[in-house]
Amino acid sequence: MITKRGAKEKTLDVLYYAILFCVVCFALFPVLWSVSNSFRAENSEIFEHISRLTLHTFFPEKFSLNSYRSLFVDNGFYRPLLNSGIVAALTVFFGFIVNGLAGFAFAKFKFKGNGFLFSIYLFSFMIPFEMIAIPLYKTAGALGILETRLALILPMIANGMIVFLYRQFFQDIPDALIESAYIDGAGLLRIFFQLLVPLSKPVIISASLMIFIQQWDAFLWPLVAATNKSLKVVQVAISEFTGEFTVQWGTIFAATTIAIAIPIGILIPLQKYYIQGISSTGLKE
Amino acid sequence: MSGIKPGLKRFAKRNYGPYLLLLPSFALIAVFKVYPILYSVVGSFLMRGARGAIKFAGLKNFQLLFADPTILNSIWITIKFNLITVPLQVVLALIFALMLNRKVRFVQTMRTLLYIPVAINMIIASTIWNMMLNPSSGPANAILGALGIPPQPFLTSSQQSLWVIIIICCWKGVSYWMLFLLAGLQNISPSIYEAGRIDGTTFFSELFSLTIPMLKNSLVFVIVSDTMINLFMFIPAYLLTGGGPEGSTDTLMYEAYRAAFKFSNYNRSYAIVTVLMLMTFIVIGLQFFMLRDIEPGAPKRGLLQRGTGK
Repeated sequence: MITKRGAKEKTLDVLYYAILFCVVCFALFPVLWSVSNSFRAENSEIFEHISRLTLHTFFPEKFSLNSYRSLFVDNGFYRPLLNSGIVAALTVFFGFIVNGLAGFAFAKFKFKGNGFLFSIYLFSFMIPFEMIAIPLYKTAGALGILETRLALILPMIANGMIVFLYRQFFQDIPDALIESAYIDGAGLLRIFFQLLVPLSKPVIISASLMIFIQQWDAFLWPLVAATNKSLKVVQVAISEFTGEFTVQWGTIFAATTIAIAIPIGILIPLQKYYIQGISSTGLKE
Repeated sequence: MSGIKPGLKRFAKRNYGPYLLLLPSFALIAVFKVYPILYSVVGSFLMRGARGAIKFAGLKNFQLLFADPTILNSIWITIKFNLITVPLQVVLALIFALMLNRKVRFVQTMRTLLYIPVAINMIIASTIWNMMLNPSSGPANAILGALGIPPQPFLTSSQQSLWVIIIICCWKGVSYWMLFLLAGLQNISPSIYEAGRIDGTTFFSELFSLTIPMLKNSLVFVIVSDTMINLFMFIPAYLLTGGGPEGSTDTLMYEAYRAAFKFSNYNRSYAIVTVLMLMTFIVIGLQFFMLRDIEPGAPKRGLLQRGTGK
């Protein structure tokens, strides 16, 4: 009886790992395939090995950085990388201040319109960006900020979800701490920067990661609001490779590899914070 | 709302304080989020008349939309895409979350590996899959060929294109939604299961009478958010198919984009976005209605996750 039960459990265990293994393979195959192809010496090598499935269909015969050279030298990919970096960094910085202050207000004060204002913030984070992209184009045009970096940064700074995260975190900071600082004559901004901020490293990291990812992934908005070549961001640059026949597959693989490596390089070491951020918003309703 | 302590009440007496703290974010949200929504709703009732003058058009934009076979097709494609994608993503995400919510070997590694598609956005996902599924030079047909299956046209066939996009969306989306469900599962106290096990529950009765009701908050969040994202799906149609072949992937959001940025017909575009908004409200209303009976038997722990961070 005992051995029979053990055997059944063993089969289930094997099945369990087999299914997970297949799922992980399916999830990772496209990524690994494109990363490995980005190191091929010749573009034609990609197609050579397609007709007959061998190990070289998936792995390059010789490791080479040719595609990366072509990406940076011929296609000037450093520009979009720099642009995305600047836009994301500035949004993260201003997003931290603007949303942090709002989170402070919602967490620690009772004021008229509190609930109503907070529901506007929550509503603003529930709506998908696509819903507002087209009218936002007109709004940004009226403000005269189209075709500037400002157009890419300004609309993305205030974020209801990030305000919500900060509010959650600040609520757990004892009121007494803030009161005593206030009695000592500290202003609200000083309390925020000198008292709350040093205590809030985890939430600042998760909020910053979320804003960074959002800006790094941004596509529809930069596509329409910053068509100027000097403002082009990574995702728009990559999307343009797809349509152009002059761009070699190897170059596209190199570009996607870099565009994946940067957020993953940041996310994996900090995944604890990112998941904390995600899970505390997901448990809200 | 937890009551504000007496000290803070006095603190808040200078009651412009909190408003000043909110001012920057509120101004930005008002200008860049709320105003555009109102603008497009109002704009959907306006029209550009002769000599470019804007005039009130009543429901004319909507009448034109619903008389347009392209839009009727887009509405159908958007609904079809959602009816398949959302349940598929949510069920798969739930299955994987349940599988990874065990304390066995390699689980942590598998979780980390499965998070990788989360860090990849729709542009990159579409770009890579587009090359993999290239009918003549992609590895998908090479692999199928090795298994003795004839080469498939994938995105170039109106029969397969929408399915390919659904697969890409699942590849990218399932692990993201799994993150939320896994976080929800880890919030369920194991003692609840122990009580059930003494009563002798089976796997499925445990799943449907304990796990899913306890997971209600996370599930509702995932279902609603997933629906909103998929109703506005745009990138694959823009990047891979241009809405084709034969309109088989022509989502409403792509039509809205084309109306505005290809044909400069903004009022038509606003009308499409307004239709999408209405669809969103209807669908989400229906979802809340259908999910209302699932009672979280337990504690409102999910609600404003407070006190756990201490």
